[in-house]
Amino acid sequence: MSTRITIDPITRIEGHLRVDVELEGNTVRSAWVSATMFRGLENILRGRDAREAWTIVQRICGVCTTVHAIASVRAVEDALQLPIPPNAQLIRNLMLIHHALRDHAVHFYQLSALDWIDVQQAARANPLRAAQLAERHSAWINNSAEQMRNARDRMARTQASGQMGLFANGYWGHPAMNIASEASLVVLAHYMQAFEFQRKASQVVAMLGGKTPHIQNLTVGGVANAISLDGEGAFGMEQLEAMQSLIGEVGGFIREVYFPDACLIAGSYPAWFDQGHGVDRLLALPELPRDAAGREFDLPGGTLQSSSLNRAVVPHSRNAFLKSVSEDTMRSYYKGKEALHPWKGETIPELTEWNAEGKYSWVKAARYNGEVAEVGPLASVLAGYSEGHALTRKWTDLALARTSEVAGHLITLDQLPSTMGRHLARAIRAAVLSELAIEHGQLLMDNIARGDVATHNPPTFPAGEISGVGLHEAPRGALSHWVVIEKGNIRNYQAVVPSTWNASPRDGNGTPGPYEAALTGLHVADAERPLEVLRTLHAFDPCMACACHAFDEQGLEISAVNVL
Amino acid sequence: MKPILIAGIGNMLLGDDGVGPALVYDYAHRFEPEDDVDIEDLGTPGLELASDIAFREAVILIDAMHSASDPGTIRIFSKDQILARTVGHRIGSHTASLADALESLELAGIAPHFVALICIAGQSWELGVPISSAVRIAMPDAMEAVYASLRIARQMLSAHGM
Repeated sequence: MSTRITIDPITRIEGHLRVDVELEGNTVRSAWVSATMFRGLENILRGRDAREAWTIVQRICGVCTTVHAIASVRAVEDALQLPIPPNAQLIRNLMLIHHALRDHAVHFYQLSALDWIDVQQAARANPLRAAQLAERHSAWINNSAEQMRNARDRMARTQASGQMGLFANGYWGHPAMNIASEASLVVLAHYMQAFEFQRKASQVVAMLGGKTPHIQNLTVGGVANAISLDGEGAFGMEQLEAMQSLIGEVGGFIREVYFPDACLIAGSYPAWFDQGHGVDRLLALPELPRDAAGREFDLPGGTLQSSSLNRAVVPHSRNAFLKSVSEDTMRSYYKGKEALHPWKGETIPELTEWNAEGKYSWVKAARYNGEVAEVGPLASVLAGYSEGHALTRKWTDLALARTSEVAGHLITLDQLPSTMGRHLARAIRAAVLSELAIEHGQLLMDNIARGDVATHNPPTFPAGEISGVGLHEAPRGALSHWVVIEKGNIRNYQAVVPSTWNASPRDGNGTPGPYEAALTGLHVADAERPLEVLRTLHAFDPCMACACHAFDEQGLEISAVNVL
Repeated sequence: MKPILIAGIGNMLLGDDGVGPALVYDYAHRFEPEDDVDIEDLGTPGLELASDIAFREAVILIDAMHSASDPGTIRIFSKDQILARTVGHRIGSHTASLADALESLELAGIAPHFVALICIAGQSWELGVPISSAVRIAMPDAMEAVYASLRIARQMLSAHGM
C-alpha cells in the first residue's frame, strides 16, 4: 500500500518549496518538488541600458545580491568581449568569496544544524567533555569549558522558560536524531558565535563594495573603487591591510569552527553517506578568474559522473556551456512545447492545477545536453578533486579523515554524492575559498604596490545586436545570466539560477530533477514526522527566493505535513 | 557599527514591497548622518536578518505588509509582540523570520533591547510596478512613526544608561 505525504512549505529555507512524496512501506518510491518561482526578469529589463542591469538584478533576491550583480556584469562584458583590469578581477573575487563564506556558514548553522543536533540534549551535556571534543581538532579560542557551560545554561534557561520559539518545532527525540549530547552542545555554542562571524564576512564585502547587502562598486568593464596609494579617504594600502586582517579572522572561523563542526556532524551520522545519492551528472563552473580576459581560473569546473569519479573531468569551456544549456517547460506552469536556449527563453505563465502526471512547478527544468544535472558545492569539490586541484584535495582528504575518525570507520570519496556528503562538500569548499581569499588579498596588495591602480576599461557598445553569458559558480552552484543587447539596450535577459537545476521538475521525457532523484529510495521512519525528507532537501541548500516573493502570500513558517 | 539601526526591508522591484527601502532613502536624504544611527536598506534578507540586527541596542524596521486593512494602513509592533508571535506571520512580507531571528539572538545574548516594526499595508506587488498612490500617500505618516520610534528608542536607551 502506498502513502502520499505533502510537506508545504519546506521550513528553514529561503522562499517557498513544496514536496510530495509517495511512500511504499517506509521507502520513498517517487517525489515531486514544486516551487513558486516565477521569473519575468526580461520584462523589467527589456529596453534598459545594459550598463545598469546589474543594479536591478542584484535585487531579485535578498540573499544572493552580490552573486547576481557579478553574473550580470560578466554577461555584458562577455557580449562586448571586454577584458577587465587585474585589480577589478581580484576585488570581485574577494567580494564573491566573502559572500559565499557567509552564505555557507548561515546555511550550516541557521538552516541545517537543527536537523542534526538535539538542543534538548545539548542543554544537559557535560561542558568539559564538550570543550575537549571541540579542542581536539581546533585552535579556536572560544572552545573553553566556560564557553560551553555558558551555551548550555542559555539553552537550559530558554527551555525552562517554556518559550522555545523556533527551537520548539525541532524533531527532538525522533529516532533518526541520534548524536552525542556533547557534539550537540559544541555545534550549539558555535551557532551562537556564528552571528559575529557573519557580520565580519559582510564587512569585507562592504569594505570593497561600499555597502552590503547591495554592493555599489561594480561597473561594466571593472570596478569603481578609486585606488590611491597616498590619497586620503580613498582605497589605499591602509584599508587593504585592515581588510587582509579581517579576511584572516573570517577564515579562522571557517577553518577552525565550521569545518570541524561539519566533520563532527558528518561522522556522527555515517549512515547518511548512503542516503540521497541523487542524479549521476554533476556540473560545476570554473571560478575565481585571475586574468583580464577571465579565461584562467583558480577553481576548476566541468561535468562529471558521480558513478565514475576516477574518470577524468570534462573541463568546462564557455563555448561548450553556451551550447549545452536548455530549459524545458513541459511539466512547468508555462506555455511552450520544446526546450529553449536561454537567449531565446520565454516566460509565459500557464497555470493549471497541481498534477503529478502533468504540470506541477513554477521552476523550469534546466538541462545540460538534454540531461538532468546537479549543481552546487558537491559538483564543484568533486570537479576540483578529479582535476587534481591541490587545495581541494588537501581539504577533502582532511574532511574524509576526520569524519572517518568520528564515525569509527572509513568514509570514502565515492560516498560524497549523498545527503551528508553535500554538507561536507560545502564545508570543504568554504575552507578552500578561505585560503584563496588570503592569496587574492595578497595578490591585490602586490599588484597595487607595483603601481598598477587601474580598475576599469570603459565599454563601447556597437550598433548591432550582441549577446553574452555571465557565468558564476555561486554558493548554490552554477549560475548563468544570458543577455541580448542592441545599441547598448537590453533585448532579452534570462537568469538560469542554481535552483533551476536542482529543484527542477520532470522534463518532457519524465526524468525527475536532482531533489526528486535524491528523495527517491529514502527511508522514512515516521510518515507524520518526515525528518529524513527535510534533511535530504536542506542538504542542497534550497533557495527559491529569486523573484518569488510576490507569490509567497502567507509567509507561513509552520510547515503542514499531510499524510494521505 | 552604531547603537541604533533604522532599516528598510522589502524588494524595490515588487511595487509596494519596496516601501521600506524607499522610506530609508528618504530619511537618509533628509538628515545629516547622526552619531548614534545607521540607516540601511536591507532588501529581503531572509535568514540573514539575524546577523544584520545583532549587537545593536535598538532596531527600527520598516516593512510592507500583506493585510486585509486598507492599503496605506500603518501598524507598529513592539519586540514583545513580535516574540509572542501575536503579530502573526502575515505581518510584513519579509518579517516571517523576524521572530526567529530575535529568538536566536536572545539565546545568544546579542539581541537588540528595543525593536519597533513599522508596517505599511500594500496594494500591488507586481514585478516592475511603482509604489501605489495609496501607499505613497501614507509615507509621511510612516516617516512620523519612524521619528517617534527613534525618540522612544533614545529615551529608553538613556534610561538604561546605554
